[in-house]
Amino acid sequence: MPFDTLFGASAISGTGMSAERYRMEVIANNIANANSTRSANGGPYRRQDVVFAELLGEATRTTTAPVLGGVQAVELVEDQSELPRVYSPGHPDADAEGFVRMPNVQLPLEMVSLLTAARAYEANLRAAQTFRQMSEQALNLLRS
Amino acid sequence: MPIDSLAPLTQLQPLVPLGGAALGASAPADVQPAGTGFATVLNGLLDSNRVASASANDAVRDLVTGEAQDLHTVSLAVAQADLSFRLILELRNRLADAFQEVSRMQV
Repeated sequence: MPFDTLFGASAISGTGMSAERYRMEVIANNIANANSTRSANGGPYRRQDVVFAELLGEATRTTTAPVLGGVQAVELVEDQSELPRVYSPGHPDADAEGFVRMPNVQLPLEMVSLLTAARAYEANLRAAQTFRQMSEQALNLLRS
Repeated sequence: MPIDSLAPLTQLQPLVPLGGAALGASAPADVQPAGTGFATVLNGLLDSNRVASASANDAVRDLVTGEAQDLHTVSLAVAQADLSFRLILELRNRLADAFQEVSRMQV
């Protein structure tokens, strides 16, 4: 469909917004599990981080410019840093000495990541809005 | 009328080769090369607009049925359909204006 190339910029901004939304989900999951001592892989929850990769479009267009496809979240990695130990003998997950291994989620860092994701989403949104304004100004050429 | 100032723009118009190529290749066979050319362009644009509005419809339906992954996909699809429809509309308006100019011509 020829309009795909016409609105390529907004499609790219859309992939950026999708990726940032996914990062927001991952951060929200980190915050929600900041005190989870049990997770799917047995031990305490580990902080997760998302990896973005450039998305390349199909080389179908007959243009000299490189084909741009936006961004894509490709991988979800676990933070392997050390888990803090908290003394809490009454906890069911406490070891023999009474220490509980807590998740390595640090709320201040998560808040900064949250702000970064929100700002990046906003930037993508602004790019899409600017592209729309550009298209509307070009359309105004047709009005006499 | 400042028609001379518009002359350098003719190099930028991609629509010119449609009529020109049809005229140069087989002029006697094609009786109305310019008309069919413009009709083809307009039909192609209409088809694209149909696809855009269909994808916007799908996006809104996904939103209503709860299948939509995120809001911005819906908004972008609707914005694209709106822009492409307005492009068609402006082109049609220009065509109608041109036709009326011709029909009002004194003979």
